[in-house]
Amino acid sequence: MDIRILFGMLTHPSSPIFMLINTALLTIIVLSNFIIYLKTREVYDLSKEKSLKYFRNTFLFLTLVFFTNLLQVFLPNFLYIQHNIMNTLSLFRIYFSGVSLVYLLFTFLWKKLKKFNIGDELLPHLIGIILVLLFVIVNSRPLITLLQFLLFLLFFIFSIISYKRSKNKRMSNYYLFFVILFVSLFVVNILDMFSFSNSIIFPIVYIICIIIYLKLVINLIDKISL
Amino acid sequence: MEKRSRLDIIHNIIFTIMDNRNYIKKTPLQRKVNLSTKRFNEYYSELLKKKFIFEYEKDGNMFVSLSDRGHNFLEKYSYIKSFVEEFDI
Repeated sequence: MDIRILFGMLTHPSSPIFMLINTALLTIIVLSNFIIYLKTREVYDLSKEKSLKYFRNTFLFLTLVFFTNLLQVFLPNFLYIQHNIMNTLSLFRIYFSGVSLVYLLFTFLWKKLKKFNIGDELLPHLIGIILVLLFVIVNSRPLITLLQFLLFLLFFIFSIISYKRSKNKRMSNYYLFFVILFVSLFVVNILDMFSFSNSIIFPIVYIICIIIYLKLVINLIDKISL
Repeated sequence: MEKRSRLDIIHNIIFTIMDNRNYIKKTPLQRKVNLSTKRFNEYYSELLKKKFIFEYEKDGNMFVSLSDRGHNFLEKYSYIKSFVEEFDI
């Protein structure tokens, strides 16, 4: 087979092979995020640490983000889906991603939250709703991506501070790796948004992210699940 | 003196059992981990319920020992502790 045809089949967003790869990778992300949520339950039950509660909530909402994404990729191949249903799924995706990012920040800021008496139950959902409303009013995906990027940037800064203060540098690497992963997936989102998804970059970056991600997930579960 | 976290107290109970050749009576255990009866019973029941420890009778006395899950907790404790502390900036 001509290498260009094979390349086209692998990378064109509407090709069945591309859909299959995308669906498989998204399923892996959904399952591994949910496994992190389930496997950290016992450690949380024992410690009752707020940071672990937020860490678990981050992964619960990330599961929902990628599950919504999976539905958007998977369903149109088998069912006739109306445009407004796909739009509603997009709104849910924005909401879930907003909530998960705020919980991610909370994992680092939980002591400050206690000090300033900020509502930890309400605030993530409020920010998620604000992101959805902004999307509905402005109808600008780049704006939402920019806001999400700012939240990521904050998370990155907190991770660096945490890394510098930590006595156990090896342990801290997890958080830097998580940042790398999040940023990579974020880059993929941007590539996707600007229709560069027919480039070879998309599947390669995606697959590398998944491999790193799976390695981290397996290590993490092995070390903290009881 | 710094207040012990829940995780530290649980580690303290489990480590104390292990440190006593993996068998100890309930009352000396409570004394060694330095908790009030009410708080000790809460932790003790939780550890029994979660099967980290188990009770058995020997020569008419009740002893407590670590289960495999208890040993597993001891092995992973330092990692879990640093994992939790990592979040504190």
